[in-house]
Amino acid sequence: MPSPIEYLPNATRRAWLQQSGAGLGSIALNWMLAQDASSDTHHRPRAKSVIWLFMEGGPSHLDLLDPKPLLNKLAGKPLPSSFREPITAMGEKGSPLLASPRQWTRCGESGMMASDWIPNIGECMDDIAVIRSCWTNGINHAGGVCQMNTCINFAGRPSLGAWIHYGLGSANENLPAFVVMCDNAGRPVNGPRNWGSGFMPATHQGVRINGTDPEPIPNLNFPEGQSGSRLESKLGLLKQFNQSFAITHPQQSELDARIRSYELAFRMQAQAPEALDLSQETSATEEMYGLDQKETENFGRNCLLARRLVERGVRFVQLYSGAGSKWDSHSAIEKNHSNLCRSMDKPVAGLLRDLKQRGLLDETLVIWGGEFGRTPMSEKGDGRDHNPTGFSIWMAGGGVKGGQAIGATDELGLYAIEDKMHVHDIHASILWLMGLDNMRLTYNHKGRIERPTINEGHFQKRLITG
Amino acid sequence: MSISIQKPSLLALVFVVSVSTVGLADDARQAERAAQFEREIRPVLIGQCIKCHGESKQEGGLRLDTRTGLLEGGDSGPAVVEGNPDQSLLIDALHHRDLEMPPDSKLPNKTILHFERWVAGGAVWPETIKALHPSDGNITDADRQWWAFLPVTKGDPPIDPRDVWSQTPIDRFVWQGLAGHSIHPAPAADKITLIRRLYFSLIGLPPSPSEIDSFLKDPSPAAFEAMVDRLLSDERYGEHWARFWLDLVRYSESDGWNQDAYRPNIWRYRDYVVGAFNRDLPYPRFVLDQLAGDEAVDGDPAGLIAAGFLRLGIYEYNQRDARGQWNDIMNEMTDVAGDVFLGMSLACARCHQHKFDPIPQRDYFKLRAFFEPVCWRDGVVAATATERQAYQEKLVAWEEATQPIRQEIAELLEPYEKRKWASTVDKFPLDIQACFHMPTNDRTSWQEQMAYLVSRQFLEEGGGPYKSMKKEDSEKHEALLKKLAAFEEIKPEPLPEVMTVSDFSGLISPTVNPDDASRRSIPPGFLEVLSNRLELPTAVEQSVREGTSGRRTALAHWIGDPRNPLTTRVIVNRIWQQHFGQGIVSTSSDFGRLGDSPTHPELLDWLTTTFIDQGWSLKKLHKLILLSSTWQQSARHPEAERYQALDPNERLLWRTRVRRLQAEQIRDAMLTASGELSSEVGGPSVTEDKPRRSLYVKSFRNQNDTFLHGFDVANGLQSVSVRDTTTTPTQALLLLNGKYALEHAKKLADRLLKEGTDPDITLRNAFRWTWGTEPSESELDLARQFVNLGLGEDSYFIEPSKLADFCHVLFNSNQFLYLE
Repeated sequence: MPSPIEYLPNATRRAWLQQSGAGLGSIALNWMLAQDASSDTHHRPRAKSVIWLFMEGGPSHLDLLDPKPLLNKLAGKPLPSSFREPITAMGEKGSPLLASPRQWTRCGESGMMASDWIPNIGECMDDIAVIRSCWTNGINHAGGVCQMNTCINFAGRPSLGAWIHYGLGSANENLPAFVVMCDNAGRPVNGPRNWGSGFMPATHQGVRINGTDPEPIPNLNFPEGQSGSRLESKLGLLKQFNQSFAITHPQQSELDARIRSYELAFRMQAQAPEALDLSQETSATEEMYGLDQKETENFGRNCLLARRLVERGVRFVQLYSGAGSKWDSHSAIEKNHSNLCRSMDKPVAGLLRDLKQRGLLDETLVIWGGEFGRTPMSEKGDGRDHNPTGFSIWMAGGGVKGGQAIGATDELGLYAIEDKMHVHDIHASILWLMGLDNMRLTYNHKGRIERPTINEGHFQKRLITG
Repeated sequence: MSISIQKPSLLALVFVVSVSTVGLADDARQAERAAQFEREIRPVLIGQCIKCHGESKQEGGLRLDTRTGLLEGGDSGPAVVEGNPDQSLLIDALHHRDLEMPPDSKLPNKTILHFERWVAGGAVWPETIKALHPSDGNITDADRQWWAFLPVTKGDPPIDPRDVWSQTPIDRFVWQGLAGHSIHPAPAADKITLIRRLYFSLIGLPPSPSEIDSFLKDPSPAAFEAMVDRLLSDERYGEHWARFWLDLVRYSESDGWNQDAYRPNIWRYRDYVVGAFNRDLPYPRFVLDQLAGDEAVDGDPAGLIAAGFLRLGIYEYNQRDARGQWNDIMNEMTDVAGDVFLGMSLACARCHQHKFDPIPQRDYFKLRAFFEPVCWRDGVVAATATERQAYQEKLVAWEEATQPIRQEIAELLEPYEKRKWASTVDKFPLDIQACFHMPTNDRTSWQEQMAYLVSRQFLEEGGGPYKSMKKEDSEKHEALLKKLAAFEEIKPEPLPEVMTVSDFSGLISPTVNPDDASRRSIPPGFLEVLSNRLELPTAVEQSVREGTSGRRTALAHWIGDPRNPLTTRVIVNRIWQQHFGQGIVSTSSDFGRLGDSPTHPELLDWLTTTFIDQGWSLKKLHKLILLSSTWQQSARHPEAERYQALDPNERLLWRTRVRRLQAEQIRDAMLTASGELSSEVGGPSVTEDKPRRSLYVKSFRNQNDTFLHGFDVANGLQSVSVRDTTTTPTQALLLLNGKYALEHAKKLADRLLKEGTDPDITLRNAFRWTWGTEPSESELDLARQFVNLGLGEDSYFIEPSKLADFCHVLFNSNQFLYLE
């Protein structure tokens, strides 16, 4: 969660350090310096904010973004022996290939393909770069979601949002810099670890917000009967106590920081509700995000809130669709994906259009994708298992050149084969678009120079050149 | 958004710290240059140059592995002219002008720019680095000269006739450092400050007003020492000190991954650690228990529990990639052992020769090989032979009485179990299935480990074998269980079951570096860099029970060897860190080159040898530290401003630093103040709402929303040697609006009202329960005003809600949250 120091403009923050003569506890110094050191970008940033639409559970690239005519031809037959059999999560052996009954449309000027499950997103294809050659390591949700967030399937590293917050700080001192929202009351796989700060201070972790909760951020509201003059007199006394302690302990600037943290908390209490207040939106806008329809209302609301947050300088917003592995369609994929696509398609397209009409798309990177894709082989007859070896995500805005497909999977969509992009490369590319070099953003942890992409990963240049 | 090419990284910090003993204000620039060297220059020299211009080869008579080599140059003259890139042949060569280096391809322009800037800035070369070495895994003499690898030497504490401050040898070392910079230590802290500090340091809790009073009343100079002794023998000492160890070993009580299942028996490991501190177990024994308690001949139950250390990593209940999961588990076990015991981050060496420290890749696998035969064991009974026998005797009666019922249950469940076994095994890759089907005796250790991972999914995955029973069967099952329950009275109390490990007794699979094409087996072995110093157990230890390899016992003996220069310094430094907030080596889990050098190396060595001489007693070490003038200094120093300019990080120890209480201390202090804190020691963990010490609050790896999480508790995912201390608005919200602080403020108010009638005394006690100190007159006045005391007719009555609000303010105040 944001620290008071990060809330300060860089200049103030620096003055802070100087004024204190660096007489800080080295631990406090550690994160303050870290913050200070990292407040500038490495190159011209293309995006200022990220909105990551996380389709949790693993959407089928084969049925949404990566059409495979051969799949329908070979449907019902086993995977040809020319394809190496992968280890699958559910371990069904020798299952027949499952056809994709989707209708595909060539969209926009670019002619990019989108299936009939995402007609609205299809209309935005000219703004979208589809990466069809993604791959990741973990075969399970826990590892997959963890890796898509932290670059590795094994728990313990900071999430990308935390790295970006560490690298760039916050642009609005009164709101959390890294916000997470879910489309249902469920908990994403791994829970808050997905937006955790790993080995970095907790100041960098994401904050889960619930836009429909009267208390969207934990402890944001004054408890009943604890506001007004009662609160004022409490805060007044607290300030007197804290100041007298600080005066008798000069050169201990952490004490000043704590006094400030109360002032900042106060400001957050005032500004967060405003940021999350949708009554200021027109009905046309609400309709654009599908807030007027039951099936799109939840995700639509989060998409609209995401726009309001990035407008106010929030750096990293992550929206879970199908929170709690709902996209996971081991059986009956037709029903599962029909429902989830309906809940997500219109809000996502609405978000892209709205950002664009407000001139925000240029500086907001929108990412869509899950933790992996799904297999061309069937599971339980009418479902698909996890496929970490080849799947699609897409990016739009934030300097990304739309209307293009990058990379390719094999003829059945099982393995990525051309211009493969590992999660390391995906993260390196996101960082690059934010103005950060994945090899130069470093954090010293227990004698290791840690980097967000674990010393690997390259920016995929075609994202901006086409 | 401003753009900057020059971007100081955190490395800068490392060097700020490491040179701060010099105590000069313009260290910062120097530090930044050193950081530049580390970031931009050194990797290039190592990667591109020293293969031909280093210790083993000096083409053109040139060496680029030392600063002298650069300045002296080779056949063509000096390679570097300090401050002058244009005259430096090295720069010329990098540009491929007259000379062309590296010969095959020119380095990127950016890199060349870095070199130019470095030379222009005086070619700063950190003093700590004598020579660069190629990352070929060969250990050089220079490597062995790194301070942490040199033998620990006990020097005599320095004597200075001007020194009237020192009370203990520790102080004489510290005095020497201070005197060298004409810095005077702070005056001694007052008695109230001291007792509060001591209580939190030793037992993690605040003293009660009556405990403070009796200390204040005792004028004897021995009063403080007596209190140290008393607190060291208090059970709450172990409860507090266990916590730092639990952080180190990434203790948490759940599986991690997605399911994050709770581990119902793992608290026994926590209780072992508490007990070990309370019994003042010698450190080598503490290490041995945790690394190899299962190997002991005597089969001590405590050893089985302690070996739960090897079970503390995360586990994924439904992972079919058994090979990958076990590999991750083994690597993590190795990494943690390195972090905790060696104070060296070995994880880098898993994938490549360590770039900064002399840890060749094979060292990593040598360490991992100690753990190669480890098999996880669940539900192992940890009990003495007598306990087992008593249990067995009772059990026979129960078994006889219930035989028919149990038989019926078994028959009912059998088909379900069969089906579950088949479906469980089926989901794994074929080679893993083969391991499972193999008779145990034919398996290798790796095959056994695979079979374990398969069989564990029988019980836990997919809701277990009995999840979807036919209705009639499940009804029948329930009825039978009811019948069985009728015999509960004659059933013996179950013996404690633990998560532990044992070595596979058959063929041990080879440990192999996956990058090594020859797949050569790597036997267990110790750090190469220490090999010439320690003739330690090279042969596998014989003092272990039958059927175990003794590998881990050997490792534990090496770690606990008094001649081991690394491991002994590491533990002493960790204890120091707990008392001062910062170690003599501030990077307490990194004694390597990227870590900080010791600020007081002679002191560290003196403490280390004294610690060993005193029988590895942590309690004696604490006492040594606590009785020192150094530890007893005040946090207030009249010259603080001036001294901070000289020694910004206060590494010379000229005063005590104000520290925020840790999460557990904040919560426990609230419970102490409100009078609710339970004194129960040990046992299963409880939810956060129970008034037990925070040590006993259930912890889940996938959770972050408890009161404790608000104040930077370790997350149990990686070994944590130094907790972060953040100051955030979130914490302000948590204390101001959160239920926990409000509720306990109310309880404190209730308690105060119950205990006294005089409003002034009530207010004074509110201060004393939270701040320790008596309020000043003006503070008491503020308090009186706040609760409207002295206004109107009810002048001798405090409204309970007002008092609760007042207590709430105290819980939010820095006097409560910080330790002086």
